[in-house]
Amino acid sequence: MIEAVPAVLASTVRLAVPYSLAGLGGLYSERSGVINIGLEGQMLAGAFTAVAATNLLGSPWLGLVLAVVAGMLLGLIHGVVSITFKANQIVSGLAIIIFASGITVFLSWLLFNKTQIKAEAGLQVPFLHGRAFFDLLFSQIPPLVFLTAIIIIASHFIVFKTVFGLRLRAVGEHPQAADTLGINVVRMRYLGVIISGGLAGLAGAYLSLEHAHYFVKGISGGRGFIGLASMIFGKWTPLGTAGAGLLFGFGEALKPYLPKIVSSQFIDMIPYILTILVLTSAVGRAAGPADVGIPYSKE
Amino acid sequence: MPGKYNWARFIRSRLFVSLLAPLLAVVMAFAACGLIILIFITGYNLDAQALERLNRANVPPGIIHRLKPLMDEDFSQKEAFDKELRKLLDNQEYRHYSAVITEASFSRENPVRVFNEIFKAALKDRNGWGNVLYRATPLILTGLAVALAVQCGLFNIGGEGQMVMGGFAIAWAGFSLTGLPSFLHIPLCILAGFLAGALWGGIAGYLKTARGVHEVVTTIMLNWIAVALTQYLTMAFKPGESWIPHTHAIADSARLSRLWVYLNPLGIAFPKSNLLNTALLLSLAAVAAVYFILKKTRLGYEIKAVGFNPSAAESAGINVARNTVLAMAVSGGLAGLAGVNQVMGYKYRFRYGIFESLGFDGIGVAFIGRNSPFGVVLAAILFGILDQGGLAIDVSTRVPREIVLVLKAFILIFVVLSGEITKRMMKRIKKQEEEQK
Amino acid sequence: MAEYAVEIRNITKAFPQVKANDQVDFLVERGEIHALVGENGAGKTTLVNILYGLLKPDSGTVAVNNRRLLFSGPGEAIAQGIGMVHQHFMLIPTFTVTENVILGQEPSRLGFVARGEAERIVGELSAQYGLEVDPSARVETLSVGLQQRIEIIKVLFRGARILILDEPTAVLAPQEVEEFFRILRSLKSQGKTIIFITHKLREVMAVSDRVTVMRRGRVVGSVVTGESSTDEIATLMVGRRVLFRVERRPAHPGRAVLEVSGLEARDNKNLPALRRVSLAVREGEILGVAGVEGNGQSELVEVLTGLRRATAGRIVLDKVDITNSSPRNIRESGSGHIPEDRHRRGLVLEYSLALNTVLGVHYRRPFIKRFIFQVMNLLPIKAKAARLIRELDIRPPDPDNQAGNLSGGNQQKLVVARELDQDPKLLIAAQPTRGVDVGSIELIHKRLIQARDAGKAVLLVSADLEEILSLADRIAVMYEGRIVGVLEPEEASEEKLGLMMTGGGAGHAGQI
Repeated sequence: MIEAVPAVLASTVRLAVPYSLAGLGGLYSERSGVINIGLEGQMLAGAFTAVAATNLLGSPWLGLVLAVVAGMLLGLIHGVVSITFKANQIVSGLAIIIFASGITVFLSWLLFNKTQIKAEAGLQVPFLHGRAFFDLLFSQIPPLVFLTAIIIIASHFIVFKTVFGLRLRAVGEHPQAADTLGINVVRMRYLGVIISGGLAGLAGAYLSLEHAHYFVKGISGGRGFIGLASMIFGKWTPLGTAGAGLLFGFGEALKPYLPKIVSSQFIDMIPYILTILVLTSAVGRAAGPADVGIPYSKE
Repeated sequence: MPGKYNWARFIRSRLFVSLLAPLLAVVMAFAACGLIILIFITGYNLDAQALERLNRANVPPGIIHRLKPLMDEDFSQKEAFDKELRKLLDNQEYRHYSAVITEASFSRENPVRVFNEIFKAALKDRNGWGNVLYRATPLILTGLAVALAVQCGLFNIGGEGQMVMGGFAIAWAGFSLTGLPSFLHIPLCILAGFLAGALWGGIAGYLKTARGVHEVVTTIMLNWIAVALTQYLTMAFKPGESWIPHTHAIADSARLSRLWVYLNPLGIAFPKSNLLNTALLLSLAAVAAVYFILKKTRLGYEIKAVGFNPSAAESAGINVARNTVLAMAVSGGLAGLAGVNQVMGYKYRFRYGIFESLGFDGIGVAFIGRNSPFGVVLAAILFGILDQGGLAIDVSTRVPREIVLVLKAFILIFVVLSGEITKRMMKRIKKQEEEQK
Repeated sequence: MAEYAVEIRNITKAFPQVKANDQVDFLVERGEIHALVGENGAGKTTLVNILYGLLKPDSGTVAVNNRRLLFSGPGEAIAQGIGMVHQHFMLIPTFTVTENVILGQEPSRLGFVARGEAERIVGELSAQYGLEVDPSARVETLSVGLQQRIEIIKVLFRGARILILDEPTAVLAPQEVEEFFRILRSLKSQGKTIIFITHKLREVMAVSDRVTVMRRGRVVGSVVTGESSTDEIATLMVGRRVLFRVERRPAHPGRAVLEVSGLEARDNKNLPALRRVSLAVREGEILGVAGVEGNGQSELVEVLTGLRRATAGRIVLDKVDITNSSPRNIRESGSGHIPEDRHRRGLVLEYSLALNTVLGVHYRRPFIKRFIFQVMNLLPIKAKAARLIRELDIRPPDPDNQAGNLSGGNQQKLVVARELDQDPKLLIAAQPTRGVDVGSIELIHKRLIQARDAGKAVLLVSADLEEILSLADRIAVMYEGRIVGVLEPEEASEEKLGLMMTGGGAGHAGQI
């Protein structure tokens, strides 16, 4: 059993990346006061765009960037519907999921004539690629894992230490107060949902480029929702979200080693059950930003 | 001018808005999808018009003649078309004319034709619309579930979970009870489905009233718990020899008849492959029941009062917590009944695949139907047409059938947008009227 | 010529229903504390909103430090050194004091909030004006009085030289008011100009240098406080009182219908709101509960109607213990309730007038037709609606009209009619004429007297002293969650009540 430990740990980290990134995505959006259940769709769009762009343009890094852009675009749409038009945020998010699950398959038929597309190249880190140590390291822990770690720590500082973060949180807690102090509520919320979409897109790119090495219809498989659960379980903080992502990834990584009576479906339920428990338990009860889900209007 | 006055009043009436907003949304969604088709679906087709163009471009008739084998053949990729050209022409001709020929044969898909194919496949004959109704049947129930909860001020997006819980319960009651006559077995299965869904919905209602957790979050989480749980149960009740993840088959006594069984003897020819079954009647009965409850009964009065203004309802002695749990439970129960069609009328087994996304589609159905019971029926039929017709366009057009998903997403977005816009328009008109006074 | 910090000339502002400001002149000298007084709806808030740029006047001019404003919005006013402290605080509870203060104008380095520097600035501002606020405390842990000081620091931080304070004392406890005056004087001594809206004359006399009095959208006088008296200002404020005193005979109270003893409850922030409240209401009398808002009246009503839990004490309605009973049971025991906020508690605005007339009794016969399905019976419901519409002259007289389409007065009449129609033994009327037109007020008052004469016990909770004085047979005064005294109308002058309401009275506090 002991010899499995490094493998489980590496696998935990690998599996935690999409949860943590999507969770962070949810966090930027909800901290600004907008619920984004479209993470799942933004992730899917990112996963497709990453592989499609890699194969068509020949550069996986460009694929990565375009995946983030694709996620941001869907975030922008969510913003237009739910911030500018003040329509129902849940329905808008749902529409984004449906849209992404349709358009990705639609385009993979058109561009590649199949729904499972192999990524023709993987991400290689300039300067480090070709050195034995890094090749071995990256074969176990893909480069994007490190980028994710940087994003998590940076997010902690962005959200809690910077002017931007202060304003973002203010807009999510009490938009009227922020507005009277001259903060542009609409602008901050747009930034929140666009960053959110971008991070979910990055999560998708990781899934297709580094995790599976291909894109297939429905590859996100509910991970956007686990991201949402990570965010809640992490109490809307970047470090907490990442921790929750790791925890859920750990459960996932344990699956192959579990005795047969523990069915893998029970592992699948853990994130959701924990989320409900953390929301309902009186001790250490989690509460999101006060104004989340409510469109802001001046009247 | 009384005529003008009435017209103005009609525009402002709720009926008009509730009809116009979704209709406009559907039209806009088709237009947007049409644009996507125009942009993305291109091909190369040497048809009569293309030949005409070649003639005008002074391409020698000999060459045109040699292109005859390509006539009316459809190429979606430029490379494939090019390859054929290379085969038919010699090098020099190819160098000279391939660009002109390719340009002349370039064509875009006509979106109207694509939409026409969708509707034609869905509605052209009895088999088509029978299957449309078959597809609409579960959507009516999942849509109704959302609509009922909205009346109580609750946003139940847990239809998916409630539906699979109900679906499994139906299958379980179907295969574990044996030796019952149909008239007992069928109601028992239906009841099992309703109760399982109600339990799942009721949990979210309870957590809201007792713990103050918003139902949107709990229902999202409960969806995935239910999906995992039923997948586990499916494996636990899988026939030993089967490698497909599905449960045992339900007993004959729990199976619903397909409608052709009744229609064919009446002289209405209905193909035996048609899946439309008596679950449709249950769906319609549920619509009537929900309409009756909301419109006519004390329960409806209280549920709507809680939905509109929980504080006032509480103040008037209406038990807000009880009505919240009750509304969520009934809502979940309705979603749970979707399995009647999927299990008792179609597969005779439980398997997640036959349910997938019907619960989420219910949210769209409810919104397009503006949360009214009858609106839900119309919206479910619309989705049924898209689902059924979408199967056909893979064959008859160059458009992948996933365009239907894109179409649904657009409809949903435009419905919430047009709802908001008309709401604001109404507010403005009302304000203007008040100022005129 | 005096130096004017603010010079408002000839401002007129009309709303669809009323002319809120009618050719108003308002002059504030530099460095003075200027009180702007008037009754509710006199147009004070409209005037300062125009000054702050939140509203655009129909005509007239505003100059700040001799520069004319263009009415382009609050930004312009802020640039001219105007700061406004609203009645409702605009604070983010989960943020610290410093974060709330600096939000929008954060001292920063490379995009990072310079927290140390910001806290130093906030601390200095706090010390300079004697505000005594801890810059690193989280706002949700602070008292209302401290929160108000954060609002003051917010405007000072933005360089305000002219501070507008909209009814700042309404939310304060008396000892906090004294503190607050000290702060105002400190601000003044350091050269700030203060415009201070209130309708409490004691405060005007205590702290202001000059008073401008508004009545019905007009300025009716502007006097130097030291050269004037409470009487003079009161007369200016109220004018020649048009007393529509309701005709009433002396009460003939009978046995006690409602008996409350030792009642305690907590407010939404889980702080004590009621402290050992005891009172009794007898049949055939109106017991008025007077008090500055926020002294536990709302909580008292909620506990009595089953909408809030009592943590101690007993409520007995006609010999039945209804402590912590459900609203339905309390209603069934014979209690009617006119809630203080008809939109929040009294009506379902989306329902028709007819459906609203049965709210709370909708489950009784004849409004329910069949027992098993409990089908609503529309005929008697409409008949009831038609009757109530006739009795209280509700307009427009259409039972199918949505309640939300009615004017405030008609909505309130609908609620009053419904509650009285249940023929309750006890009627709890909270702010029954708030935001209601004069005609409806008269009608509602008449109904309350009629109910009393019919032998009902009426508990009238109102922030409107005049209403209490003209209707109540006995007056209980609430202060900080306690009943501090009960007066007979003849011994209750406005002055005496005012003293008791602000904690200064020596009424015979005790059992009623």
